[in-house]
Amino acid sequence: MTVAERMRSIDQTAEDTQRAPGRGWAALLLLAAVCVAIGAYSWSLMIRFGMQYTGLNRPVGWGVLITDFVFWVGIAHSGTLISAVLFLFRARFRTAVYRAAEAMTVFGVMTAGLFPIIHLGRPWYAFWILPYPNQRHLQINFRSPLVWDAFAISTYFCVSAMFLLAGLMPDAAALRDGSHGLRRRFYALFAMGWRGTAEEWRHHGRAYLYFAAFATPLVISVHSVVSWDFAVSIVPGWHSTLFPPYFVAGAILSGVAMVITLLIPIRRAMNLEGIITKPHLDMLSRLVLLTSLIVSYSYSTEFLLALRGGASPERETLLYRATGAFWPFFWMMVLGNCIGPLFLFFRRVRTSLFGLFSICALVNVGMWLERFNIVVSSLEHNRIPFDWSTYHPRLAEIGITIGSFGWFFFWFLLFLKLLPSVSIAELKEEGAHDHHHEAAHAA
Amino acid sequence: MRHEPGMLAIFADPSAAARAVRAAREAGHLDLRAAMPAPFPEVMEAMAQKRSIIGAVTLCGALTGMGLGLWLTIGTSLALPISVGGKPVVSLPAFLVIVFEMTVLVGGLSNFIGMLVGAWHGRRKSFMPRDPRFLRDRIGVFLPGAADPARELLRAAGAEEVRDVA
Amino acid sequence: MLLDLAAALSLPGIADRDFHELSKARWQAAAKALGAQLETPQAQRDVQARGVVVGKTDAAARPLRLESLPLLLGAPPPASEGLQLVAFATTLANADPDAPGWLREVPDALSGVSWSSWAELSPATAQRLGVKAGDLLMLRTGDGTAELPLAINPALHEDAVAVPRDAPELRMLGALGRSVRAERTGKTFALPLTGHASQEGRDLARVISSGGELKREHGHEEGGTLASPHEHPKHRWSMSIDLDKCTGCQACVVACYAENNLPVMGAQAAREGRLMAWLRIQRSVEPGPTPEATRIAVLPSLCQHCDAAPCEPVCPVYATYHTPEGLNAQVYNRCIGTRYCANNCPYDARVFNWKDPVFVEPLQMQLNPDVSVRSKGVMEKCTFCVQRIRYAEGAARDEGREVRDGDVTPACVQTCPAQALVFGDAKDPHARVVAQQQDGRAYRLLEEVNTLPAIAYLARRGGQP
Repeated sequence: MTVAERMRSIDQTAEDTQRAPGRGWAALLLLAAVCVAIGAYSWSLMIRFGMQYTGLNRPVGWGVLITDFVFWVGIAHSGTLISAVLFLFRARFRTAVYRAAEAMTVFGVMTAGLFPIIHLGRPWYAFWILPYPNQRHLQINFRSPLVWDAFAISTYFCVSAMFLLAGLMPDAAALRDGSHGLRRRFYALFAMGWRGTAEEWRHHGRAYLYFAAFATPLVISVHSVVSWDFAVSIVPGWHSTLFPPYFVAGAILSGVAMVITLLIPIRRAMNLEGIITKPHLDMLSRLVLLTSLIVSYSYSTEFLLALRGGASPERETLLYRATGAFWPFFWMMVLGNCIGPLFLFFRRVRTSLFGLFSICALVNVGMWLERFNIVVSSLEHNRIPFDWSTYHPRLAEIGITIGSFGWFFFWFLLFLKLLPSVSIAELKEEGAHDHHHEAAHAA
Repeated sequence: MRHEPGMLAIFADPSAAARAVRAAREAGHLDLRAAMPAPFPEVMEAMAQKRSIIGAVTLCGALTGMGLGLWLTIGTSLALPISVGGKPVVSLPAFLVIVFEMTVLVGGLSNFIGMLVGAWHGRRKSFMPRDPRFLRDRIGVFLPGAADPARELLRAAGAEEVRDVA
Repeated sequence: MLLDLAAALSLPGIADRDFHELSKARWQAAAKALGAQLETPQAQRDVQARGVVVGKTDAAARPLRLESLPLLLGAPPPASEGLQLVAFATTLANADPDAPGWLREVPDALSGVSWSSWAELSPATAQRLGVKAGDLLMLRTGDGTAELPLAINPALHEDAVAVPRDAPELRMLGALGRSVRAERTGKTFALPLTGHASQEGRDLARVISSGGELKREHGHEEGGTLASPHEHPKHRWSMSIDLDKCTGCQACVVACYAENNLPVMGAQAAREGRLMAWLRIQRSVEPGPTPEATRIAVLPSLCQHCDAAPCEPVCPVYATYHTPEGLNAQVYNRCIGTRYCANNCPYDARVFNWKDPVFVEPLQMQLNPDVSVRSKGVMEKCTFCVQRIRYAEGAARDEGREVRDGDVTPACVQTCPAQALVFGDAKDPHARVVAQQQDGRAYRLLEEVNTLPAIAYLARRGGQP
């Protein structure tokens, strides 16, 4: 195949994904919309009648909603790692998968960013957490990890969105020139006047490098900031310096697992199997294995240090986590996060779509359960035994969780149909490079 | 974009386009322009462009963000010196998180806006004939103000098509 | 004063002695009469602590039979089989369906039950009958039957079943002292129980043996915190709670409800752990080998107004901060309800409004106008009755003098019948609270967490319950 033919094939594949949607996609979109409606209704109950519709109590002030928050921030870490960190490391396998992953990042952050508002007792005053000048001379408390959250999540959203938009510019331009009417105007919006001249590429290439350089420390810092919501407190089981690396590794684990879980059906449904190949998935699964090992190490460190430290509230809380009211959640978490990914040591499993999908789906469940365990068990079983209680999530919280999945998939499904889910320009660059290599070898 | 007359060559292969660019530059056409669907390294290298100024813009943005973060945190704490948990009024270890985020945010914004402005300016400054194939599967090389001798040069390098642009 | 009067009247045996000498003379005489040995200072202190002189007697000991109890109380003699029904008085009225909300909502001190009547069995009896806490127990007497939910009481005699005196089910069962048959019904009842009943070895409500020193296992190092010391220019409001005097009567809890417009939340909230009490009596009932060996402790728990409060730095909007007078202030208007402060408080002193409070007509007429009524989504907690502090400061200013010790009494301090709570200004060297906080029995709750609380607890004396 000549270079031109390769490029045409990439364009064709991308255009094929943008064809009119089938019934399957429409049904999924409708399902997502229904889930969003359920979540909106559940939240409306909390706004109208107060937080009584949650299962929270004294002393368990945080539960499923904060679990969801940390979970979605974790999902959002997938794309940044793949598109930014792997870019800096010049990992070739990233090209085919990073666009979809980046989109997951942006939509994941959009979902996560809802929760600091949803979980408030008075969400209509959520904007008080922003530093705006006011005539009451009120300021916000920059020592509070929740303010760090507000800044970190906003920054992460802005930078990831800009990163995605920057990457989309050439691709949207490629699709723009081949389409008409409303669609053309839509692509033109994202293309922002892109012509593909060398001058533009000069600036674009440099800017892209700097985006990658900004996004890389963000991967580490954002989830560290989220982990500090817990680590900066004095709650036994939360107050641990291990949390930032532990949470970042966990975030990458859950993010990459979600990328694999979604890419497997997407590549089939959108005929992208030629671009997102099994070797790509193999490489991604190695990331899952690596981060799973780090997470297993973190669990062991946490437990060993607490158990060896003599009688202390931390020790009791961690034992309660493994043996208390929610012990099935704990062991399911171990199964999903630590044991399941061990099978990825075997090449047969890494290249089996069914094996990959099931292991990664279990990881997603396990990572949600991990956050639930950390948040809830420490609050249930704190320093004053008189206050020990059990938290039972209620329908409103479950409804909001369902709504968050609906919200994420709603935007993601729209993205799949409206914008290219593979990076056209970079694939072309890679294609030309491959052609050169093959020609050089043949000669 | 000011329209300029010249000669446009269309290539189907990046290495051919790179050859043409090098030959044209040697022949004295230093102000040549190119358009391609992806930033093929051979062609970009052959063009021997100056490094983009965007680095300086982003650095300025990042430093501004850092200053903004320090000013915001320290300034507001001194404006409302309230005691919380015995923590010092200017709690730098805590504030550094905000300073970092502001650095990245303003740096990223400057980067993005700088890129858009640079791209817009690049389009304005250097006229390039439009052809939708330059975003799909062809590379275009434009020599402004070029005369006939250039045609041979471009064909020799492997141009698929060479035409005059009035 | 009475002694002075007696001395002035030249009553025999009184002249010029202080009360200590007088009482010592009295019990020394009693000891001699009973033949008790009271030479050692330890023995003398024991008598002073317990208020009882125990002597030996040659007569054979005769145990008091439980069956005689009804006779002593004037009831007909019981049958020989089954359990003995004992009705006990409670300080509140949790079991009485017609009682006011406060008396039903504040949990019973030792069982933790609210909004319900209940029956108590000892753990051994419960096991024998195959029932556990929350099961519905069927009590059958000659006069009638009743179903009551079960609460386990390790301090209860094995042959007894105890029911609160104001439980309406008692009327169905006839006179107390009757023998009852207790059976399991297989049904359960969601008994609104508040509070895990064991200290789990964490030694929060401390006991000090007479004459002993308070063991300070968790060292509170001076300067062991990075927090900068606070400047309290005028006052530093503090409290001391004497666990030796506290009987767990819950009067302070009800007083707090009255003074601070705390809403009554109902039985379901009690089940869910959503009661609004700012001040709670935390009981622990630790079973021993026999019912008599049960160790019971009560600990009044409230916001400690810490100098290094963990709740303050984590609020994103400065809704809580440390005032110049040492209080941990909660600004209801500013609170957006993130609940981080409640999570971070090691004493769980903070209470969240899960819904808008309801004050049923005409109870809204009782509301204290000096205290706001909080809406849903807002955090609240003990304020050391800041409205009373401000009132006293205002009154002092009007009179052109400084605030004196005793000018400020929070509602709980005012109400405590045993005067176990003492409140005052820690910066006033003559304040009662300062003397209390420097007592040998004084300790702080959760000292190892280094929150520098403003409340000192005085350990209970003696090893007996």
